[in-house]
Amino acid sequence: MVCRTNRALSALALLVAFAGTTHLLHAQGRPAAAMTLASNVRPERTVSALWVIRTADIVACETAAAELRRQLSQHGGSLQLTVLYLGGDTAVVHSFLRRERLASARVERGTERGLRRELADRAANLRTSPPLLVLSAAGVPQRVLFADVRTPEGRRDVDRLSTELNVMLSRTPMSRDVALTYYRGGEP
Amino acid sequence: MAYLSSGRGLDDYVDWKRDIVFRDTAASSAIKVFFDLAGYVVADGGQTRVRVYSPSAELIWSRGKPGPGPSEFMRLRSAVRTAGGEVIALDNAGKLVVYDSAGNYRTTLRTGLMPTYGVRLLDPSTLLISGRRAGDLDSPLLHLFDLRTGSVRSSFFTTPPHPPRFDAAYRFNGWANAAVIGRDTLAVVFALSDTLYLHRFDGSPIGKLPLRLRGFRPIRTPAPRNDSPEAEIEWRNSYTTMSDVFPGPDHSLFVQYFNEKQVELAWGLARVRLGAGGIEQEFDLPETLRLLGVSLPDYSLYFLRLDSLESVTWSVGQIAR
Repeated sequence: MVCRTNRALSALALLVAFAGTTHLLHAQGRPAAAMTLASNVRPERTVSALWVIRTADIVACETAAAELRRQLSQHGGSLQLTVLYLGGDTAVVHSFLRRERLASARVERGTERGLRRELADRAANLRTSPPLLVLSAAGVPQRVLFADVRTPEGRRDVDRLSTELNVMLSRTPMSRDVALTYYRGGEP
Repeated sequence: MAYLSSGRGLDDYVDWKRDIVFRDTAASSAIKVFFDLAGYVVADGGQTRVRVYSPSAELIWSRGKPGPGPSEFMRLRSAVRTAGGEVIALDNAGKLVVYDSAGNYRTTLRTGLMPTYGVRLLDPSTLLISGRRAGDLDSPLLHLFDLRTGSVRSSFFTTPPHPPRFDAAYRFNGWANAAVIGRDTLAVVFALSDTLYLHRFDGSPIGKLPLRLRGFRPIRTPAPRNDSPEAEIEWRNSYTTMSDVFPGPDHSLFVQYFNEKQVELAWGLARVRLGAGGIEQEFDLPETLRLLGVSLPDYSLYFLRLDSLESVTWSVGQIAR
């Protein structure tokens, strides 16, 4: 097949969008359309997944696409997928999403520089290197997963996606309490 | 879904028989399928899984994950099933993993090839592996691997002549695939050449014939030297890749190729016949469905449709009489 596997790109973008600032992400030459992590989340108990990818991730054969398809299929409208593309022309990311049967995902553009600038002082304890999955509930980012399935660490993180989403999307009050405890850092 | 038609030009040539729907969110476009009377063996390179299905498309077993260990793959390429029911899967690092018919791991064989591109079962004890000898930039591209000795018996089909400025393209984007036609003949396609090469099973060349495919665009610019993925996409969008060749009914062949559009593949398919005067074309459809393979003995054609989040469809048909 036609995959690019042997080229490491050095560019590392700093994530991530904690706090949902409206000016966080900037498309090239103009602000992105009010793109915030919070803006994707409307009803309660809806989780948004923000998939941060670059062109280099797109041309790799192995991505988190299959796991995202599985989760979207399982959770239906409760899971909203947005792709934050750290690149220029979005034609390539739309092409990629059609290829991966994820064409319904919303696409936004951002820049690595913009992310770094906005988040430099918050990134110390965060995963910073794309591809990433940022999971938010009720507009509040809860988890950042490393989504590079070409690495053992990335595969481990993507394998956690199902568990993370199941907890975040739990529909019983008790489960929601458990989830809140879980995400506040205590033992459920 | 209402398929069983709309094969993008294929409807004029194919009698559609049935659609097989796999409720499978995992399956990626990077799959190769082996067909036999026992069902289907799917090598899903995107998911690094070997999946074995019954003829009615029920999943029987599934194995594999990324990694260097037993039953793990460094980019799964292809898989075949022997007459005895053993499934043999090939990865890009030249490793062959053998499972028994129930999916139990049996053994690992090393081919010494890397990268690899595909594998075909030539006879009960011989695999035809497409790939390069590890570390040999000028390696032949096709190799006969003897399952009894666990080693490559012979190699043949070197990269076709080309201008030196295309060396990188021919080395890194040039592969070969072959189909068995007749009792002792292989039809070979090379990724960057609009030509059909004929060889004996022992590798000796018989001849070559121009295909003259409508949708074929020859390579015109060297591979980009920088490390820009955008430049690579643009370059890959500029030429056609011959992807595979399959045996067809009535001494015909199906030749498959693709053009990249951004990162999607536009699949082309031609049916050709070897005549006294060279290649006779039955059809050439530059943008159609991807042909996954041809199952014998009835020459059923399996086409892939990847247009649903929840499922994957194979449309099955036969050449119209």
